[in-house]
Amino acid sequence: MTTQLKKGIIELCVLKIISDEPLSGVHVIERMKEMLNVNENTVYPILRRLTAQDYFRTHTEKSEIGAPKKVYTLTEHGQNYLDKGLLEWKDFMKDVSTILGGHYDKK
Amino acid sequence: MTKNNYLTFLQTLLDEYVMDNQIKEDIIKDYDSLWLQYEELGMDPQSIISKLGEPKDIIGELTEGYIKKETKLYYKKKSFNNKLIALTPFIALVLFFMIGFLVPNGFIYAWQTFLLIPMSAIILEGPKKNLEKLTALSPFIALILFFSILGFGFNLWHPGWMIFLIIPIIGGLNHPSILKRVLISGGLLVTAILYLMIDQLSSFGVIQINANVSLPYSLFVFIPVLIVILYEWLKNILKNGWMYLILLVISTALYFYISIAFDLWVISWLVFFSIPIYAIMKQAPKKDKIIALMPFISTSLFMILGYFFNVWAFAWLVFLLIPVVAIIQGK
Repeated sequence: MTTQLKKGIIELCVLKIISDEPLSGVHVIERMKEMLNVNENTVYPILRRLTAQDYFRTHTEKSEIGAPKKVYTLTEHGQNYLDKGLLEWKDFMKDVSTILGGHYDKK
Repeated sequence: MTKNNYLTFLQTLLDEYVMDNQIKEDIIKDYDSLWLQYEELGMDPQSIISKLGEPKDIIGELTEGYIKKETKLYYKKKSFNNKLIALTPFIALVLFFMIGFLVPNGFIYAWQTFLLIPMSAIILEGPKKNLEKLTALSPFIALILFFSILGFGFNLWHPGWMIFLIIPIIGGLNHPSILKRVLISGGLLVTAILYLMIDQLSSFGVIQINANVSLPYSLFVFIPVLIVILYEWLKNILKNGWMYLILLVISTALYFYISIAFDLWVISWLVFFSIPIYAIMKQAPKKDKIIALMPFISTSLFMILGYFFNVWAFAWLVFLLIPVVAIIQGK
């Protein structure tokens, strides 16, 4: 799989995970690691980039005993982007399944 | 690596980019917070680094869309240089008229201001190494010194022409082999000095040498240079085919035939251009062919216009074709 395609898919997954519930950076990294076995190094730069593109807004949760946590929440703009991305992903998957399953018109 | 070391290293790498300080601070703050959160989970520094990534591995992703400071400086300098090169034709034109009208007999020298065009391009955007730059500049330096200073300035047309030897002398210094550098540049330099000494001693009457034989006698110093040239030439012939040899034989025959039969010694040497022209046609990339050919076309036109139509005073204008064609071709 090309790096660009992989990057796009990881980006979509990060958006989806945060769309379900606002999460801190460490939680996103851990969840991605658990479910997708991605290189954890790549997650924070993606969070940063998507925040810069206004797909996330952030707020800092201060704690009495621990370090302050930056929490990421999906914005409306982010939600629209995610919806569009999911539709494109479904279409893409459908086409890929058709080809790989051999269910296409062999002329 | 401790947290502080990690963050300092990351900061150093971020500082290499043209990036708002606020953004950099934010990144450092985020990594500081992520480090602390992992520390709270009981992780040691090494495990935390493997989670967050080595600064040198993540810097590319973090700075996506930003350019390095040195890159920005490079483009800034390049853009300034390009503007300066683009301005040179106008500067040359203004200088041409100023020298032409303000200096007595100025138009004799003024055409040389146009040499500023290729010279500025070589100085600002030419080869990076100083010696290569000097080699590229040497024909122009020789031309200016010969006409303006030695020729018109001190009436030293002879032996002033010897200034053109600086071209192969400097050029020879670029050869990768030290031995060949010494043989070519050193040999030529020694020959030039010897010839100059014999010539001057003879002209002041210190020694009695027939002017017609002094040159052939001094040629023996060329022997090492000739060996190198012959060796390189034969190597090239064996590698690139016999066409060069055929061209050389035909050119030499034509040279003597035209010169003797029509008494055209002044311009008959132009037939030897067939060799570099063939080399350019064969080896230069298609889009660069016309640029590479222009010096030969211009010189041929210059000689033909000057000799057959006696318009030497204006014929130099054909040399403007060289920068004009290069600019049109986008070089």
